[in-house]
Amino acid sequence: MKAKTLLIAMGCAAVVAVSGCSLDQLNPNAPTDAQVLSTPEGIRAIAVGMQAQYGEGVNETMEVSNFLAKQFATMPASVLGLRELETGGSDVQPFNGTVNNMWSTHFRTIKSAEDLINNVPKTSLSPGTRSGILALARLFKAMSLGELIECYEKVPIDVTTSTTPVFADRATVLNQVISLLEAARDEYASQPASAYADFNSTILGIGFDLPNTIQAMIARYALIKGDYPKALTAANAVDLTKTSSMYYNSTTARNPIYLIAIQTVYYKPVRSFRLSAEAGDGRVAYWVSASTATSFLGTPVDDFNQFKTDNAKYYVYLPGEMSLIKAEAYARQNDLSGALTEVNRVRTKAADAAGVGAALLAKTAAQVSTQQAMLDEIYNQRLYELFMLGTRLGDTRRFNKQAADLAIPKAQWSRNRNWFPYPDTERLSNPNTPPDPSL
Amino acid sequence: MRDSYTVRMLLGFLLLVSVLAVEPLSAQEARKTYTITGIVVDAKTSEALVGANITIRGTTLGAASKTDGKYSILATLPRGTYRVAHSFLGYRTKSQEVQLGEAAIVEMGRIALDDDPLQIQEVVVTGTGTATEKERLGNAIGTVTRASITDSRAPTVDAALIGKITGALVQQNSGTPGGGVSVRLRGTSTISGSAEPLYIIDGTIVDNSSNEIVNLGGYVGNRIADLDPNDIDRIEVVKGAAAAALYGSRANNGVIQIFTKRGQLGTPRVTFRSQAGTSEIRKMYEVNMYPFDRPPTDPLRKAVTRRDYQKDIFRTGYQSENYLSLSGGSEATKYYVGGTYGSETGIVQATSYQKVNFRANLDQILGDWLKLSVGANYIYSYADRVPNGGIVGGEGVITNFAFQPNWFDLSPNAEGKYPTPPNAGFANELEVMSTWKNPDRVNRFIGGLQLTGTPLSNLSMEYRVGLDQYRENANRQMPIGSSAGYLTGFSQQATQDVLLVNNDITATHTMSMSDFGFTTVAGFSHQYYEGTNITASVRDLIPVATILSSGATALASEFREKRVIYGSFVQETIGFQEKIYLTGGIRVDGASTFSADDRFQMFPKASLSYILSNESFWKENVGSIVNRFKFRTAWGQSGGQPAGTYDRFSVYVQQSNSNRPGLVNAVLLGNQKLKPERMTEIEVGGDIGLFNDLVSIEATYYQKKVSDLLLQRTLAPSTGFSGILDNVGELDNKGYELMVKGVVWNSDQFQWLSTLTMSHNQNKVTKLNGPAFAAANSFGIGRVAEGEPLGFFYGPKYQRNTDGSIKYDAIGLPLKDPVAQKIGDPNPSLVLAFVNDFEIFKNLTVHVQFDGIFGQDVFNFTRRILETPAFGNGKEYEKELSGQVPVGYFNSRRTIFEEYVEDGSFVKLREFSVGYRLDQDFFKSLGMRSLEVTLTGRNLLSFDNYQGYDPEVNAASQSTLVRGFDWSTTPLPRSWILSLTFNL
Repeated sequence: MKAKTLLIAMGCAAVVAVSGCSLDQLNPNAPTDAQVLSTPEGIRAIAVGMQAQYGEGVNETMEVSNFLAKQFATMPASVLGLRELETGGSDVQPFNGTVNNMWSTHFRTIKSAEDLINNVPKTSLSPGTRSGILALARLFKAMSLGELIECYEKVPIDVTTSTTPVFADRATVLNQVISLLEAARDEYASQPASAYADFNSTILGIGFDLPNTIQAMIARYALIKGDYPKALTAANAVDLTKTSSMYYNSTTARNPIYLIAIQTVYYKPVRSFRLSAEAGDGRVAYWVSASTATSFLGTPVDDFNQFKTDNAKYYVYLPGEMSLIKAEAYARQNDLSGALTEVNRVRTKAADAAGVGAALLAKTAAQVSTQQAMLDEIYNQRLYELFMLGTRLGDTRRFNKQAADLAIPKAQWSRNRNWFPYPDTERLSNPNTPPDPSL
Repeated sequence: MRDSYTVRMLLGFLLLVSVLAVEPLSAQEARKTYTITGIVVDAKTSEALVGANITIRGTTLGAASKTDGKYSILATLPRGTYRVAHSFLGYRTKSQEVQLGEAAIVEMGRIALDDDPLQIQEVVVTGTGTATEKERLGNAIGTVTRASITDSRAPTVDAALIGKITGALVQQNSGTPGGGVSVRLRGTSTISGSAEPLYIIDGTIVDNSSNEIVNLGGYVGNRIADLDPNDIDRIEVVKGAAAAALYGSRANNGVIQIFTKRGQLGTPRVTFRSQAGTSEIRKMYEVNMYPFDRPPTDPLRKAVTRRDYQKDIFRTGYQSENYLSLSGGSEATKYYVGGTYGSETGIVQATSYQKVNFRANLDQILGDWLKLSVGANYIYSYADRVPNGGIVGGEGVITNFAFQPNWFDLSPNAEGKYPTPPNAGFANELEVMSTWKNPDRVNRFIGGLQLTGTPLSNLSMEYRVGLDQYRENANRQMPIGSSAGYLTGFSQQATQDVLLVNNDITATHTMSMSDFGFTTVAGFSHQYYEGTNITASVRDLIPVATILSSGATALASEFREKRVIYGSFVQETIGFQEKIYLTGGIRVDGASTFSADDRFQMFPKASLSYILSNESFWKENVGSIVNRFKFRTAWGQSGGQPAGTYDRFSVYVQQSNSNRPGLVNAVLLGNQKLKPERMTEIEVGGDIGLFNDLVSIEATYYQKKVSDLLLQRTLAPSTGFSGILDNVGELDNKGYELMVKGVVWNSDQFQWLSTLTMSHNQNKVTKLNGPAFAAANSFGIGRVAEGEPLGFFYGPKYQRNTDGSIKYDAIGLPLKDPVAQKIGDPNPSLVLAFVNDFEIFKNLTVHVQFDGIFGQDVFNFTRRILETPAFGNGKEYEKELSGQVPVGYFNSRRTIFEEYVEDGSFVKLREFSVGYRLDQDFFKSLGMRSLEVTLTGRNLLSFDNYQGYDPEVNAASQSTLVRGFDWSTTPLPRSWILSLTFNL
């Protein structure tokens, strides 16, 4: 009996001790945050993925800006969300899909950027790769925050610290954007160009120019903030013979503007863009081609002449934008001759490095003799030079065009909304969400 | 890792200690070896009963009666009074007291057992830790016998359960051969996971996934369909936490344990059955045959010729099956081997199903204290399927019958090319049935090994290892030149590999002290699951070939998962004078799906059974009428697993830039704090026997509360995530179940048994921690909201006048209420079954089962599409074409979803069979024990007011939330089967 019992008991114990496997099963299908954030391979891959995240949403900021600035019109009956943006005012709902997508895409990019900023210092990377990734992450966070603050009154700045991020006001966000960009610039400058060979060939997107984009963004957001000397310095530092663009291909990363505007034809440019252009402006044909179609709401429209293939690149800034930033910075400091030089550089150039060229006659000082006249000229030049860059909504604000205002007819508004309502998904889960602006 | 290793070591140590501790305790008493002998016979015929079970109560000792009915137990026990119980399936257990004293040989004499047509005295093992007589249990347990499974001639084991157990809603979701059955035990107890119960076969945990590895429009079978109903001996069903707590974190949906046939003592028996049958659709839609395509007022109206494409889709299906088994054995060795080959063509063209099944079960006694049982089951099945249902995609053949205008000629041209039908996004059903192929193959092995030892007279130990392994491989093949978006052809291969292993050790210790009996059960369980899915597809095919390498552009994907669960339990039952049984138990469970901090969860249970009819006051006063009365109550907790194996991890997924692999964080944030969904159930009930068990009643009321339900909670998008899975929801199921069985007549010439079962369940979501949401794949109609049952229907209603009649506008179009609201509930309020079995002149048997579901709403999406003007194939739409209703009537009506919510209540003549057994001397002289001829009908009649094919089906198959959704799903066929069974 004793022997039997012992035998069984030992059998039990053995089975229990050896049976199977650990309760700590790892996911073989996708790496976890812990695995990704602590390894050089993981950090590199996030740096690649972050650019794709930003790249797949470039249409959203551009659409929001151009619909609100009345430059686009919807085509099919079914695109209710975009139509809300087209008709504007109180039609724009907190659950508007395009607006919600823009919000979440940018914050996903910001999340990746913060993951990089927080974890790169803990990872052993070569100095060039390390500085390159840090500069890239700060740049993309700055671009996303900058695009958001052009659409919302307030925006959260830090997202990885809390599940209910606190909202910061416009001035704070703009300061944050510029300080991120300056930190990116200094980080990039801390290493010799030769140190970036590996970073450039394995991480940085094809066609993306990191140092010039950082300077271009400093110029863009310093101008928006009203820091004209800084905008001038930065714009001067941009090499106008270079371009910087997001990369697309025909399989895994298709140009989102092509998909929505060309392939499915959700919207087209309003014909007034072409009709109200200066005679002979070469940029009209760059952006659009003539059509006789009308939109779902009956607005005459043209066809797009850009982004006509799924691998078309998207320029994150244009060389002409730098000249116009300089012109505006001079003009706002009442240096009209400095402004005129830059305006004429844009008016008279044939196709630049990005292929944009107005090829118009230069204006004389007499034709733009007042500060206001000069600003009006710059405002107009920006429309034709930067048509699909997502800057128009901010322009209407900076050039003091008529805000959305229920006291006057909608036709006189320069923009369909001043600020967006905050996404309802945000309000539902984040008690720090501020009240929605009325318009 | 360290924690689980520690737990394993601790458990092993505990087991060791408990075993070693028991022996010296019981060795204290003086023991003597006795030989107890007797003979078991049938009380009526005095024939010896072979294989009856004889056990000494309070010990683990026992024996089986031999071919002459005699038995002998060698027992080393302390002196005293013992009870020896004699039991045999179909007879009432008889226990007799015996004094073990000086004499070494104890003669029990002749024990005559009375027959028990209602099979009241059963021994069950599921959820009880060890084999336990039903009367000792504080909870209800459903049991289904071999005969009622065989008699049903149901296509699958789970379909055979329809109407057989209380508290169960068993629904065959599709009439496609090869399965598709959902089982809900006492309501649905999860929102985001699978609601199907845990299946166990002879101790082996088996997979019952509904793997939709290629998209067939929503139709998918479940893997229990692989089992052969011919192999089944009996089934036990535990329905909730009170009974299933010992299964821990996998038990929230209940447990179904299937026992297969085993060899019996005596000469070898051969059974050969050959059957053949037909099946056909019970009812078709009336179609629009109006000779014009548009209403009279339409200037574009033209004459058309219409065709009823249902006649091209449906046909008579044929089936045949051959089953051969051999069983027998000696006292030491018993065996059962069986094999089945079945072949079936479905009622939809181009569908067929073939299955081969082999099983071998062996029981071997080793020495005088060990028993080894082995079972092995191999299954191969092959199905030709067609897309079925329209939940996902538009290729289903019945879907296209509804979607493509029936004035369009779908026939192939002279080159054999099928035209692309007018409505884009949908296919040409004639082409789908003729040139598209969707084969599915399953290779499966299920095996188990069980070693039982009784090292001491009051201790038994059992070790079980089970293995279930299968590969399912499915294809979709559309050749080049196909219509409707597949011009360049398409080919897809998907393979699902699944492996389940379980190791279980159980020790049972019994002890009695004066009037009290103690049974302690302790166990340890290890469960492992591994799944791999590999899918590849190609487009741009070369002519003729449709294999993967014939394509120019390819896509491939892979997904792997592993789950591990460790659990252990201890349970104590205290019995008092065979009147009161009190049970308490606890299971500790750790699963790899949860993180280390929240991994180990405790699931307690307690129950009480009080057999009042064993009290003398009862016997004396009402015993002659109410011969058996048991009050029982049970309480317990169990758990539910998340749907995803790796839901707790925050992961990064592939997103490339500039053709370089990159990573971005997944939109769902992981949650390391996940824990099992937890059910708390209480049930109260009684088991009653009237007139010496001529009538048996089982009634139970239960309340289940499920908390910590796993739901996706929305996160502020400014965190970079859209949501997180979290334990935030709660729901309730309440209901009662009643079973009344009766012997209506019992004589030598005529026996009539009647069974009525009735189940009511009410489901309600009590907490959602978020807004109401639409269930995925329900077209926004099925919804989850606080205060409402799961998956209730939601949508636009008619505007109504104060008298309730529908409001129409000036030209007579129905008006829609702009506010969407609740329009129906697919959860039935009552499930009924009425089964009658007759045995006439011993040899003629008749079996009739009616069952029904009441109070369930069905959303008839098929009818909606049939009368939608853009398609308009339904008879109803003729009214608009002929001008009986104003133009635009149906275009208005189709937006009013209330119109399409129909009462899905039905009563079906589910099973009807007539059998005759030829066992006269002539047949015996041919060497046969008997020859049985049986004619069986299934789903012969349906009494319902449903306008579609069948109110019973569900286009979303075994979906948890999308129920009662009829969207061009293959209805259950009416079938007739003739079988010949040779018993040698």
